[in-house]
Amino acid sequence: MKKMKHHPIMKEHMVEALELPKDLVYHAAIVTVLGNRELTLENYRGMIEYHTDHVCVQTKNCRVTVTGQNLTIPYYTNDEMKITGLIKTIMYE
Amino acid sequence: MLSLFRYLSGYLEVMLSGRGAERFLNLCSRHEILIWDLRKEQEVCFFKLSVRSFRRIRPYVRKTGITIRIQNRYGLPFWLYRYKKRKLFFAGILLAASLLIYLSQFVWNIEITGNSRVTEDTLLHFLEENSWGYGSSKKSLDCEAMEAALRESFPDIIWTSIELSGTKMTVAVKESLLSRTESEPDSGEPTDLIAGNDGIVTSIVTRSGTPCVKAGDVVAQGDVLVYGRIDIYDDDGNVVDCHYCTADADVYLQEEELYTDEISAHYLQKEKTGNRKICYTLELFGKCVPLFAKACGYEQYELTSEYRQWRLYQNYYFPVILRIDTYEEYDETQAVYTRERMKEQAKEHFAIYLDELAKKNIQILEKNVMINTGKEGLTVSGTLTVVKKAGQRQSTDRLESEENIENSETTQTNERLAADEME
Repeated sequence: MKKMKHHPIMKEHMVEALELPKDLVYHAAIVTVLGNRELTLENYRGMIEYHTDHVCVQTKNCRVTVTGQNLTIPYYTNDEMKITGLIKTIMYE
Repeated sequence: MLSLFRYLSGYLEVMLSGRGAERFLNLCSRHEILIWDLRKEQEVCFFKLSVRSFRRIRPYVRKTGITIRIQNRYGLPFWLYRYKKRKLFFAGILLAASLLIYLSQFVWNIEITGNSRVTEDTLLHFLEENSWGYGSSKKSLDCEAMEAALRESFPDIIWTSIELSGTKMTVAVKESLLSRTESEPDSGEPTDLIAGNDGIVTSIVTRSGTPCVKAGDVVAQGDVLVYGRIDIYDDDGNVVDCHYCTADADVYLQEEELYTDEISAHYLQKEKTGNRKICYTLELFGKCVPLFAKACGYEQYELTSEYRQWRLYQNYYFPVILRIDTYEEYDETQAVYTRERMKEQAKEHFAIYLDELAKKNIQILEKNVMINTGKEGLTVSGTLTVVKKAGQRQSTDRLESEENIENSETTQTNERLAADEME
């Protein structure tokens, strides 16, 4: 039996019409940045790399790499993590 | 709050080294082990976690092949463990805590608000007399009974609220605008309203009683303005009965009020020499213990006292008061006011006098005040034409009025008899 594929545009329309929470539907990471000193990350799978100058986190769709200086993690839980320090770039790979 | 909870339950700072640090951290987060303050120094990670979490991480440490080492221990459990041999220290803490709990069952601070005519000292003395004052047990205090007693003992106080919060008692009072004697009498005795001074009636509105004057009448001191007796007349206009009541009316009289004031040209001027001494006194349970006692040694000085009461938190006061007395030396010299200064002072006094009249709802119609300057000072004299409410009372004479009625009744009957005889 042929598996039915969801068309991405149709999915978008459905999400818009039903007002569904986008982070749940797209499994997207929520990145909240406060200036260049603080970053909060939600909806991730795990940390790949942690160094003082960069932190690499795996989400469902992509990898988020935060580069900067003196990066520390005030808390790290299953749902949410916070990165503080001097943030220079945020990359989606 | 979270940091307090962490402190109470105890937490550790751990050093983590090895290649699988990230994997270990992911495993921890997956198994809901909270990690905070994660930082990296060279190739070594440092993080903090609770004691309970530390006991759970052993399998993940083995699995990822990393090494961990405890760097620091924080929190109450470690602190207690460190000082467990100091039994006297713990006994002291226990004693202090029990003393605080015991002392918090008494009133150690009294705040009085809303009073103006009844002074704070009078109220404090009243509370002290009834053993409700400083140092009384909170359990023995019945706020409602205290409020009722306050209202009963001080007629000027019309509303009271006593609140106990911590070791502080707040007494809030409200005073009546008119004193009780000026307002309505309490007893049901019939009374007349009389004129307190000579004057002209400007307006009269009677609520009860028989008005004896009308607007424009000239009255002398002691004249009855409103009788506390209401006569009942028959069709012929004769008095057949009378009712007694408390005369109640708004009678406004235009009066002349005398104003005199004297301002002496000579006065003693206090000049501070700049010398000052500060003495500290500790007041424990109402007893004074001087600290670093030394006599002030000044002949003439101004004393300023500042009280600082020790409190644990907001309203938790304790009977430990530090009194700071500041003695400031001054020299007295004879000085003379200038004429302008004396005039200014006279004007100030007059303004205060007018303010007081305004507070008493006395209307000022005319001011005729003269300032006479002499060698020794300044004399202010004059008259003010004011309109004020007549409020003096005297009890209605019952007997006389009853005799009058009897007399009037007998004359009526005599008249009738005479008429019958004529017929």
